[in-house]
Amino acid sequence: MKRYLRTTWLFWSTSLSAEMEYRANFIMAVIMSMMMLVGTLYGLHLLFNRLQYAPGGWTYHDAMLPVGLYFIIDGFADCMLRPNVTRIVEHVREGTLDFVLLKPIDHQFWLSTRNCSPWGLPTIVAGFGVVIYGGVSREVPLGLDAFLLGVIPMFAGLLILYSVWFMLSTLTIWFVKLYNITHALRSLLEAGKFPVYAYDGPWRLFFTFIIPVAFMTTVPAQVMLGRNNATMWFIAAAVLAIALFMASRVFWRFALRYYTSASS
Amino acid sequence: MIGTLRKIRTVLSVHFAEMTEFRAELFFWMIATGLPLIMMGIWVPAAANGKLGMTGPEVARYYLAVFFVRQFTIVWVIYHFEWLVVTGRLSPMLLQPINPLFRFFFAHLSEQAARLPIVIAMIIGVIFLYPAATHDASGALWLPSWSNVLSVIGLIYFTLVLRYLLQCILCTLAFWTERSSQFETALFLPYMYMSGLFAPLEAFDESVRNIVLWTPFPYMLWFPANILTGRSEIPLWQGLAVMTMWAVIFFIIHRVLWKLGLRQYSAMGA
Repeated sequence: MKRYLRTTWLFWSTSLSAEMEYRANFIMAVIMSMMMLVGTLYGLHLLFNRLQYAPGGWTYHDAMLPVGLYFIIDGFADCMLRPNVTRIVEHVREGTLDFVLLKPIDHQFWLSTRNCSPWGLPTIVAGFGVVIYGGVSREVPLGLDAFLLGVIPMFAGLLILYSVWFMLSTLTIWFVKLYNITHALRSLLEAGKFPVYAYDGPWRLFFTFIIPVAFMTTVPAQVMLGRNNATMWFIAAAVLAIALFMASRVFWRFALRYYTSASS
Repeated sequence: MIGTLRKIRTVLSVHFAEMTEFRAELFFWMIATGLPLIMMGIWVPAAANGKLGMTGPEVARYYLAVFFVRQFTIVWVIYHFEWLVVTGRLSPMLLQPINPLFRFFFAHLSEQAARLPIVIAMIIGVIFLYPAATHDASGALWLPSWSNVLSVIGLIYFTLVLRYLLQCILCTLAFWTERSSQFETALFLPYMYMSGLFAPLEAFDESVRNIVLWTPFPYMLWFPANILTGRSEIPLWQGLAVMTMWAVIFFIIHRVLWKLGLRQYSAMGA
């Protein structure tokens, strides 16, 4: 355990110093999260204020919570997932996965933590801002305990996203060229900008049971708000997160059996 | 003339073969571009209270049209070009008598051909989920008129050229920076919010919409999609005029940057 912590620290400090080569990226990252913030909140304003759409009683301020959580998750993906999980595809295609498999450390751990990037941080900060603003400016403001309660399903959501992403990337062992998985997931994640209750029936089923986007943004938000059977969803999120994480480990080991490196 | 046509045909068929080689990739690419179908799930029920000024089926048709237009106006040259520059593979291409950016344009066309069957399958799938989309208010079967279909096919290729020119500008930035594709990621945001993808422009406040209509983005999705469904508020000529203006601007910027960039470009290893 201690060895893994030390390795993680080494991984992150080296990749952070590598990323510091591109310091202009920071300005870019700030501009991008600003654009996202303005665009998404304007869309929310159109939907909830201008069209007075109130699906399942969600108001404009309530709906800010999923938006903020979406930002947090997106920023986390920029920091941790895109720099790592995306590279699995490259490793398989170029045959460098062989070198990873030879290392005396858990492969999945190496593949998931080797790199990190600080450029998602502005989005994460914006996300926390939106969650807090939405929560306190409601008619019945949320207390500190409500926010803290939401942290647990939020982490469950992050774990779910990681597991789904990792499993999809594992598919490269069979299909070799799958760079588009990242783009595909990004566009499905977009659905998380709105509470899942705002969607039409078939969409709601799809984003709850097939691609569990609802568990990433709507469930933590409804736990904070304490609405729509929050307790049940809270438990479901925790169970799903653990189950998917285990599944990702099993699936990776299963896939490796089919891995025939690049040259053999 | 015949020589050029033959060149175009060869380039098209080579790229078509390349695209069909990685079918799984193509499938995920389809999901990646399915955002209009996701947004449809929000705006159809949101239109129910009548404040949007569009009915549910109208919104559904709008987003199906957006999906269709988007499928045929996807441009990815920047990712390819960045890789060529960073790995130094661009240098031999610059020696060829054809501008590489001209050649890659045809790769886009062949890729669309490979994608066509999946596009049709997805549209049929959505109609199956929401059958009301194909019926008008009186319950009769709704189909786009032939003249609208023809205009939209023309418009789609104009849009493709417009988007391609815009991305060519970003390509030239690859001569200065190693990570030019992130400009595309950044540019996707105004595109998403202003093109009618995230929200139909009908929902916008009047003042905001009037500003947005001066940018090139609504003409990349919202305008062609509404031409297809036959409820465009903007006459065809007006949209074409704005698009031509932007195409000329993009082209000039691209040429200037290309010349400056080539001077600045020192191939890897040179």
